[in-house]
Amino acid sequence: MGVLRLAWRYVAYQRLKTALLVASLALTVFLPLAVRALVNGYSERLLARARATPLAAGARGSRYDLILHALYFRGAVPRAMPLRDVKALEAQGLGAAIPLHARFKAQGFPVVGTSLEYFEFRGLRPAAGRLPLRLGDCVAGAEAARALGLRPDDRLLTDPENVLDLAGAYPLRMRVTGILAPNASPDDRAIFADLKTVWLIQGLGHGHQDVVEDGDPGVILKREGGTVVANAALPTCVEVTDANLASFHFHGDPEAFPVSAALLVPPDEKSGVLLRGRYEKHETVQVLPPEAVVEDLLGLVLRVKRFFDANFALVALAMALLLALVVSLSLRLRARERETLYKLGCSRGTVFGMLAGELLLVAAMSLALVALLAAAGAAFQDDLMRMLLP
Amino acid sequence: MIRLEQVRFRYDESPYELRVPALAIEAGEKVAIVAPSGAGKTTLLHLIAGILVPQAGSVRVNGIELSALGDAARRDFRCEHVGLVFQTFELLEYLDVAENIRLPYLVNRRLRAKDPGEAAVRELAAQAGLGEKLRRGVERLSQGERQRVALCRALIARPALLLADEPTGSLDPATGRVALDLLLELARVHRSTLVAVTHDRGLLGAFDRTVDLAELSARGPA
Repeated sequence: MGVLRLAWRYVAYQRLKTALLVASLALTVFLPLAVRALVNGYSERLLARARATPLAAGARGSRYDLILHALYFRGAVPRAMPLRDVKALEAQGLGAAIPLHARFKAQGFPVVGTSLEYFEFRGLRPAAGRLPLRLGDCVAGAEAARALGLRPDDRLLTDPENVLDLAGAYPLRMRVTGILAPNASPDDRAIFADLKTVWLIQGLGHGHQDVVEDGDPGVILKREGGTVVANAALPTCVEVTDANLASFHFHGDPEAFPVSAALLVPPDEKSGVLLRGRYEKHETVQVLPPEAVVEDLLGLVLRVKRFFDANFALVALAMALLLALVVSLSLRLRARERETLYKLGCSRGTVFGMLAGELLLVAAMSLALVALLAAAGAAFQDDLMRMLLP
Repeated sequence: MIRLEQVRFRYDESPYELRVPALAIEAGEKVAIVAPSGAGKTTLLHLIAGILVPQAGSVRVNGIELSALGDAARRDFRCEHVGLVFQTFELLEYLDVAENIRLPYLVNRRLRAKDPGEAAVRELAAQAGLGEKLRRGVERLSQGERQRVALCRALIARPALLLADEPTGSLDPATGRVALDLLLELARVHRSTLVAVTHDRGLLGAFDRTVDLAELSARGPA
């Protein structure tokens, strides 16, 4: 008891030295553990989403870009494929094809154009309000809604693609019809709308004043039979309302409109294999098993992790050597103290027990700090994961 | 109380050998030991305290032959019978005054069982004029106060023998005189035998007698 008391008094007196030692030891132990936990958590979350998605399809190109985009709405937007390719996939009769078009953002959150089947497939249901049914409607993921302070019937403006491109897509003011219940996935941080709403954002469709009935004759450039050509002064709508819904229309062949990916849901494994086989040599479309692609991607992450592991081992070795240096210098500086204690009747074993007690206390405090950091890390793990997820 | 006979001691690789043909100090005596630097005054105190063991001869304290004891037994003997005062006090800076005074009880298991408790520390500190400073860190004390803490630490276990190595060596003359008077007074109050090594011949009058180590060694081969 006396020895531990002395050890405690010493480490308490040497506050700065103790704090530095404790912090150094704690970080040396905590960092590799934290990186391991983060990498494991990161891998599990990526894989969980991938395992829940049987197949993903998109235009030929980077398989990583396609999977990261189709599953996590992150990374580079892959080359688009026409809607007719999605319909062709479904026409194979080997499962449903759910189109996705996630090229745009609203207040920094991805706007995902899709069909109602997506919500059923991902098990998403509104915690408030309802799913989007009308052109211009959207539903917000739980976290996006929390971050933007959205509630049903609020309005949400999409981000312009390029503020300097006057001819580019104009922002659309969407009506928020519902907030999704959280499901601990990238869906929480997305805004979902109908595919046609996203095409509106892209400028493939629009609504404007009826130039024939209500319009200013000055905006009409020419009339050719039933076709009226107006100039850019024609007032266009930035929001779909019940009043102007009818004025919205699309130009061109909807089958040729773009989607950035599609999720394929074959009823069984065999159908999935058949679908992959049929599209293996397809010229423009690739069908990928997300789990295999994500595992491949994680292989890269794990290789980086091994580098970190080796780095941490070296840091730990350097730390151990530094600690040995600190202890040996401390022993040298305290030689007179040890001699005094011996002269006063303290055995040499007890003196070294006291020094060991000091080291034990430092180690115990380091472990306590590690536990504290781990608890804090666990509390913020979800936020960290979101920052890390692609 | 203390009997040294035919004692010879030499440190490893040292050319000088301490020789004490015979030295006797009776219980309750206050003895000053003087000698030039390097003559072995501190070594003699360490032999009497059982910190060092002579290569030849006999050191008996309170009838106990120290040369015959092992290291642990000599440590226990030291705890129970000897109080040590060092020239540079050797206080532990990370302990307060009370803890420094009580240190022998904290570091020796055998002595711990006889710990007289905080009251004894307070009483002794009060005798040394430290009653108001028990919880103060020793680094905040003056040199004179530190020496008083060291005196209290030496006396807390009520030792029969008090060994002081240059007890005034780190103090100015006035403070040294006060410290020596306190040392003598506390030794008297606690009925301890006092053996003090000193350079300061002006202080010798305060002791019962003076032993010149150089003369002692020269009396004849040990």
